[in-house]
Amino acid sequence: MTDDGTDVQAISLQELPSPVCHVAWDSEAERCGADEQAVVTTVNDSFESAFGPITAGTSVVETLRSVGIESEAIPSDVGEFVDSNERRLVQRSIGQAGDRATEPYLLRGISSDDRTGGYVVLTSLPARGPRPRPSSNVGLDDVASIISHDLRNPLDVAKARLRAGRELDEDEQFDHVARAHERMERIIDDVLTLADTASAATFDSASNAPAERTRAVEIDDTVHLGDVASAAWDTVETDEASLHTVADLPPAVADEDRLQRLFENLFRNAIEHGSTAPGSPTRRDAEEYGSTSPPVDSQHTVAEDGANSSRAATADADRPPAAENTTDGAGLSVTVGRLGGDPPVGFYVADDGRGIPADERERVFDPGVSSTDHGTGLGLAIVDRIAARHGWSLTVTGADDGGARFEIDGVEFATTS
Amino acid sequence: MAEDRDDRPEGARPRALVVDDEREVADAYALRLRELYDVETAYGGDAALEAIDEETFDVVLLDRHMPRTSGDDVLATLEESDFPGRVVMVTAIDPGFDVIDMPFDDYLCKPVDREDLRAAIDQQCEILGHEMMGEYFGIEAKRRVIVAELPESERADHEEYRTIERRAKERRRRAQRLLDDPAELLDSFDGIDRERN
Repeated sequence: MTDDGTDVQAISLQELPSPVCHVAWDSEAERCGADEQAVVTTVNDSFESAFGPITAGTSVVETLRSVGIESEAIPSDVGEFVDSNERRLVQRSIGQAGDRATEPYLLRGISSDDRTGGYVVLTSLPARGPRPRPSSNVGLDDVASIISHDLRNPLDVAKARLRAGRELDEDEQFDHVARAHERMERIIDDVLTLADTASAATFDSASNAPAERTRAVEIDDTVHLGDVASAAWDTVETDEASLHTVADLPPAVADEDRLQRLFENLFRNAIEHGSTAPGSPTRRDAEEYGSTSPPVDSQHTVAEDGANSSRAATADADRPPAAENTTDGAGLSVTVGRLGGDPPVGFYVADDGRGIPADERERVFDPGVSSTDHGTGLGLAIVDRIAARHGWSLTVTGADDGGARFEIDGVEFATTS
Repeated sequence: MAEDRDDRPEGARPRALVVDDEREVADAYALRLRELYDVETAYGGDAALEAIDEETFDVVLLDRHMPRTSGDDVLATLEESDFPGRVVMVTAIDPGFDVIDMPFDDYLCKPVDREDLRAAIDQQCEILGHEMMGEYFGIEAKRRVIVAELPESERADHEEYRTIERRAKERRRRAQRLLDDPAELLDSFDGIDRERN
C-alpha cells in the first residue's frame, strides 16, 4: 500500500498485512427495492486470522458489528465511506461481559477504480505507549471527585469576593470574582475535554454514561503541526517563554481542534511546571489565574530546516536555549520538533525547564495528578486521551538539557519530505 | 514556637492565620475575617510554620492539600511542638477515615459560608480562652503561693519563678482576649483565699 493508501488494488489482497475485506454493492437488494447496501465479497487471511471467517454476502455493517466494532462508529453509508476514501478511528470491543475492554482500530474505506466496490481496511493501532496505564481510565467518580475538589476553591473565592463587593462597594472585588469564574470555566473545559476524549469502554463500563457521549475522532483533517502549535501557543499565558517550531514538519492527519488542545496542554504544563521553583508566589499566580506580570511577551519562532530565525535565541531547533532564570516562564524555551528521519514517525514537545523526575513520569498522565494543589491535574490526562483517540503513542522522557520531552509517535503524515 | 511572646494588649482581637497555597483563596478568607479578627495569611506550609514560629496565633485555618509541606505536615509539626492554639482544617478534600488520627480541632469543607467560618473560629477562641484561663489559674496559683511565702529579693533572682510569672501574664491576656466575659472567672479565682490563715 502506498502512502496515500488508495492503490490497494495494485497488490494482492492476501499480501496486505492488515485485515481487509473486499466489498461490493448488493445489486440484488437494489432490485428488490431495498436501499443499496455494501456487502463483503471476500476477506484476506489477515482478516480471518484476526476476526474469524466471514460469510460472503454479509453486509459490511453487519460484518463490522460482528467483529466487535462499536455500532455508532460504523458508517451508516458504507458506499459513501468507501467511495470517498474516508477513515476514522473506531473502538473494537473485546472480552466477555463483565470483563470487557476495547482496542483502537483505524477504519479506512478505499474505493476501486471502477467505483463498483472497494475495500474496507481495519488497522490495529499501536498500544497506548510503552507502559500500561491502568489508572488512565477515567470514570464519573473520578470526574466528580476532580470537579468537586477543584471547583470548591474558586467557588469559595467568588462567594467571598462577591459578598465583599456588595457590602464594601469595591469594584476591585468583582475582578477577583471574574478571575474565579475564569478558573472555574477552565476546569469545566478540562473536564469536558477529558470526558470527550475518554474511550467508549471507559464510559460504558466505568460510569454507565450514555453510549452516545462517546464518538470516534474524525481524523480526515490534514493539518500543519507548526500552524496548530502556533495557534495553541497564542492561547496560553506564556509570559516571556518562547516557542521554537521546526519548519519542516510535514502535514499530519489529525483532528485540528483536539490537536490544538493537545499542544495547549503541553505548553501550559511546560510553563507552569517547568520554569519555576515550586511554591513561589509568582508561580502560583501564573498557574492559577494567569500571570500578574506585564502583558504577555511571548515569542514564537520558526526554525527553517532546523535553523532558528533572528527572534529566537541561538540554539538550534532540537536543542533550545537553556533557561537563564526561574521566574514565570521567563527564559523558558519550548520546542516542537520531528521524531524520526524522513519520513518522520511523529513529533515531540520539549522544554528546557526543570523536567519531570524519572520516578514521577509513570503517573503524570493520570487524571488528578498535579504537582500543585491548584492545577486541575487534567492537562496531561487530556493530552493522553487525545493522543489515544488518534492512535498515537505518547511517552515522556527527559530532554537533552534537563527539561521535559513529550514524544508523540505513530502519527500519520499526509506527505513525506 | 512563639509561646509567651504574645504581648498584645488585653483589648486586642483574636489572631487568626489563614494558610492556603492559593493566594486568592487565602486572601478571600482573610477578607471574610478581617472585621472581627487580626488576620495574617501564609501561602504555603513552610510559610505557615515560619509565621507560627515568630508570632502567636489563636486559630490557624489550614488547607490540607498543598505542595511540598502539606497541611497534614503542618498539623503534625504543630502537634509535635505542642502548639498553644487551635487548628481548623479548611479544605476541599473530603474527609476519610484518615482524619481519625489527625490532631485538628475542627474540619470545614470548602466552600464555607462566612457565618459558619466565623462561628467555627469563635467557638475555637472560646475553647482556647478557657484553656488559657485554666493554665493561668494553675500557674497563677503557684505564683501567688510563692509570693505569699517568699520575699521579693529571692523571687527576683529565681529563673523558674520569672518564667511562670511571665507565662501567667501571657495566659491571662490571651484568656481575656478570647473570652466574652472573663471577669466572672477571674473574680471567682481572686475570691479564693490561698494564704495560710
